[in-house]
Amino acid sequence: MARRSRTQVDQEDIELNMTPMLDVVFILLIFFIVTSVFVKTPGIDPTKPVATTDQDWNPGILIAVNNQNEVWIDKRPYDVSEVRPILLTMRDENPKAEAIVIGDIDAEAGTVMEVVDIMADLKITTRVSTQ
Amino acid sequence: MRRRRKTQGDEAEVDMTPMLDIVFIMLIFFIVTATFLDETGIDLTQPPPNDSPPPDNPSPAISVYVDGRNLCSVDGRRTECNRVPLQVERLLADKPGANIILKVHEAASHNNLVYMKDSFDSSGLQSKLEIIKETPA
Repeated sequence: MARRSRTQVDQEDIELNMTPMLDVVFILLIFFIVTSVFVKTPGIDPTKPVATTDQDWNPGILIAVNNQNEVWIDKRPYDVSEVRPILLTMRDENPKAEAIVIGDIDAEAGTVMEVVDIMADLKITTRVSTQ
Repeated sequence: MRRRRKTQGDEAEVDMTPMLDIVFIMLIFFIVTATFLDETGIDLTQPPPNDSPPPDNPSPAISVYVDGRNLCSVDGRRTECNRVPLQVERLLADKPGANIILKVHEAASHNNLVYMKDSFDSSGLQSKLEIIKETPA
């Protein structure tokens, strides 16, 4: 019967109560699932300009422009003229995504604004990243 | 000696180990792939071009120009770039309600563009951004 087996504590039969640990692990799992965003990071980290009127932004598409005026998307450099089809596929994969253009302080304004214009043309809400 | 507990109706034990394994693998996967974004940004999107004819009595305008070598001028007068907002405020006192047209050469630095736009925005001034393309000589 149950009572008999419980009193007899065998050395190899000690049972750990896993329930609290399972609870914690589940909470962690759910936290990471909820907070995880699957974004393709540009792969570079340009020096961002400083601004006082900036607002928090949660982008799903990230594009970086470095000081050589290369446009980085998903860890690959492109020329400005090549990015439109790439952005088009990214928008189709995630139609609700908003975007951010991370321009280096020494990038040319023309390049950054061209990317912003392409975004506006593709009807993607875009902000320019600041510190 | 190992003695198995007899399985009774409401004391059946489910072996949690396989589930725990899967849950742990998922947990580690999500920890590793998690990227925490902390982005802030300003809006530089230009409004679509307006096809309607310009009004008959256009309001006065102040033009700020940043050229390809990052030299700034306000209404044609050379100014240090970080003094442009001050200069614009001064001119606004003479021309109340004037529109600000921010012309930036495409080779100017991104930093100057953001600085100008941000300083106008923070003092509540409406500014129109224009990118000047390099004209082939």
